Amino acid sequence: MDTVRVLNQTYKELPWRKRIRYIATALAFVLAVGAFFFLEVHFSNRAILLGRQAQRLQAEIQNNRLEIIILQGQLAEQTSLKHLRKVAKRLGYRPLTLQDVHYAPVPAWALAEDSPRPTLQAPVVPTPLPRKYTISLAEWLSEEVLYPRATR
Amino acid sequence: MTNMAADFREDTVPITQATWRYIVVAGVLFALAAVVVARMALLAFGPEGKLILQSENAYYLKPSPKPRGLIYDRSGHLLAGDREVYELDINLNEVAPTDIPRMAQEIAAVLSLDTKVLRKRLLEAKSEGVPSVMLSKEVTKSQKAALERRADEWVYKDKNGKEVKPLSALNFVLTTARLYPEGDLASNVLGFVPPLAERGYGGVEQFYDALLRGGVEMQKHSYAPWVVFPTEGSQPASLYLTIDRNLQRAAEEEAAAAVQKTKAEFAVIIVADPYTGAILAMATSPHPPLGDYDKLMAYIKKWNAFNLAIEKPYEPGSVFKTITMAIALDIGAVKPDTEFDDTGIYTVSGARIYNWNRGAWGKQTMVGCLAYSLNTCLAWVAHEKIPQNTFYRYLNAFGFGDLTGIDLGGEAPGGAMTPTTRDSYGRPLWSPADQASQGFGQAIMVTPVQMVAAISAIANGGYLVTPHVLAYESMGGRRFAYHPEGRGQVLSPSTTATLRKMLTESLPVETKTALVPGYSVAGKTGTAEIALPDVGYSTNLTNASFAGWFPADKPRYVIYVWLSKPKTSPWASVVAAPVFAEMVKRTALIENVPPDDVRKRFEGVSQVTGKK
Repeated sequence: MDTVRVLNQTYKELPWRKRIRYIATALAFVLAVGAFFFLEVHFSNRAILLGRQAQRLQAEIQNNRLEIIILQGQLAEQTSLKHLRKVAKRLGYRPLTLQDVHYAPVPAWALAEDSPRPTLQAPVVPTPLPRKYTISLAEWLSEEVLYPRATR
Repeated sequence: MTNMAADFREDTVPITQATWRYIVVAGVLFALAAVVVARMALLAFGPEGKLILQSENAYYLKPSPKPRGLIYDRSGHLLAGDREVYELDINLNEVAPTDIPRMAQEIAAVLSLDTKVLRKRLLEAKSEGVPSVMLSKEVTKSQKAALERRADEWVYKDKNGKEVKPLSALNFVLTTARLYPEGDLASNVLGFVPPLAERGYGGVEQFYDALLRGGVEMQKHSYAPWVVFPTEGSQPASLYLTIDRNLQRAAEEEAAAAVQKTKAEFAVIIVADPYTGAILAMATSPHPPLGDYDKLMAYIKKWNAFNLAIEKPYEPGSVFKTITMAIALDIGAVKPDTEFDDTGIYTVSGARIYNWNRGAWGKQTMVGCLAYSLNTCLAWVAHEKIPQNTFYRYLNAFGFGDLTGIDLGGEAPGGAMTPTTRDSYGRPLWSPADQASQGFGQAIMVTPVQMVAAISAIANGGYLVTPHVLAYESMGGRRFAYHPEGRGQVLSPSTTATLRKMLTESLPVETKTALVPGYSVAGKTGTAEIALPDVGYSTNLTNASFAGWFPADKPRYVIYVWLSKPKTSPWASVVAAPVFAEMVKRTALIENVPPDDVRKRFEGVSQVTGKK
């Protein structure tokens, strides 16, 4: 109790400049500690928010992927041969025959090349990489710098 | 302490009442700040913080639908996709036993189930204390909506006055099932996925099951909010086939028309690129019905096969004469003008071989032998002109009796009697008559796809390609092209050039029904009598085939036709050759192949302009 009284008395008798310095030091300490924990909590909070957002986006991507596949199926049904034939028939089209096709010469037009054919020869054995791509630094030092060959 | 007290006295300022107030307010604020800081410290490093950090390694599993990989044709038209379906479970803990009869009635009405069976099943499960029962794995979107509507309508109040909705015990889990936008198109190529199964059977679905596999995946979800588990690696691949939907449809229509017209048991048509082995169309009629699982099972049971084009070996008959002739030409045993004096009968080891009309055709060149499809001639070539070991070495090189390696599930190897064939007692079964018979396509079992590979070798210059249906797979935004390894050079280019010329010349003599005005075609018919148990070869029941290609001088399409047991005529020249001609017409139209005169005129132009 005496110590408290002494401290209290001492504080009362301190000059204002010194009192303010002590108070400022104490506040600065609290602010520094506060700032440290604030940053810690702030970053954790940001990580949590972004993590949740990423999880939500991931779920959304999966849902979208599923929806795309389902919609793709529905679109394929609308563009299926069976459906298109019905539409063509409704519009008054009839199937084409070879007799309906006429070829007209177009100047400077060349017949399209056939699709690329694979080679009929045996598969080509890949050539080994040149030594300069496979040599190690130690080997290079040994062969080219320390013990270079007399002739090249 | 004395010095300190002395210092204090230097400029002592009396503490007024106002100063005290400031000190109290400052103290309170300081205390509040300290509490906030302490709380933040606890959050960051206290037990709560530690708990959050620990949750980084903790996760739970949640079912997530993983659609099966998609299958497209070569132009990107979807052949097999996925549709939205639901797995339906019922939580029996939430259901009163008295509600079960009506519940079974409501569910059965929507899902087209047997009410009695469902009621019994639910009552038994309830009495045994089973917590949950799975009712269906393929509830459609409309069925789900209907059940949800019924759930909202069926409400009553229990003894305690609490509102009860019995059908709210139903639990729908989103999943997917196969969708076939083109109906049964190419069903024999695609294969199928049975209900309640994740594995594919038959065709592409079986062969590439590991790439396509979908289903319901248990996905990891972290308790820690900042941890996200990757899911990209587990996505199934999409397959792009070499099949063209227009050609496939044309082939299926022609096969169905042929069955109807000739009253054949079934028909098979294959269209392939002879240079790459890419199958552009593979049709069977009838084909497996994918929409109805019970009918599909009945189909497989009836034919003992899913895809008749790769699973049904048969004696090909005269189309095989092209192979015998190719071997003889390749070893230099015969030339196109080599003569054979046909007396109408050829005897080997006591076995007599006759021609198709039992006639004698006199002196014939090898071209004539093919043109008139003389069994005696080709038996002579196989037996007397080709050494035994050479003959079977070539058959082996062509891949007969072995799988072609086509990327479809369930391929059969076929087989033939060879000098090494023994019975169960180790006695040899083979006789020289077998080699002579094999020369004209009897006593050997082949599949249509084996014949396509062999005919492709004749068309492309002698290289045995691997038939395949996959063009490329697409996974994770990347495409991987599929180029199966070839199976080697089985004939020399000069042999194939000679044989191509012979077949082009002999076809108009053999059958005019295979010809197409404006287009040069080459090929050979095949009529094989069918061996019946304990009876021998039937003269009425035949396998009628046609193997050919077009344009004859620059082969781009190999077309194979097989009709099993046609009734209107047993002859391939009457029933199979016209189907080939129709397929040539439709292929030319779909693939925009100009008639020979136009093509040659333009080839000439491009040569003149140097753009070839």
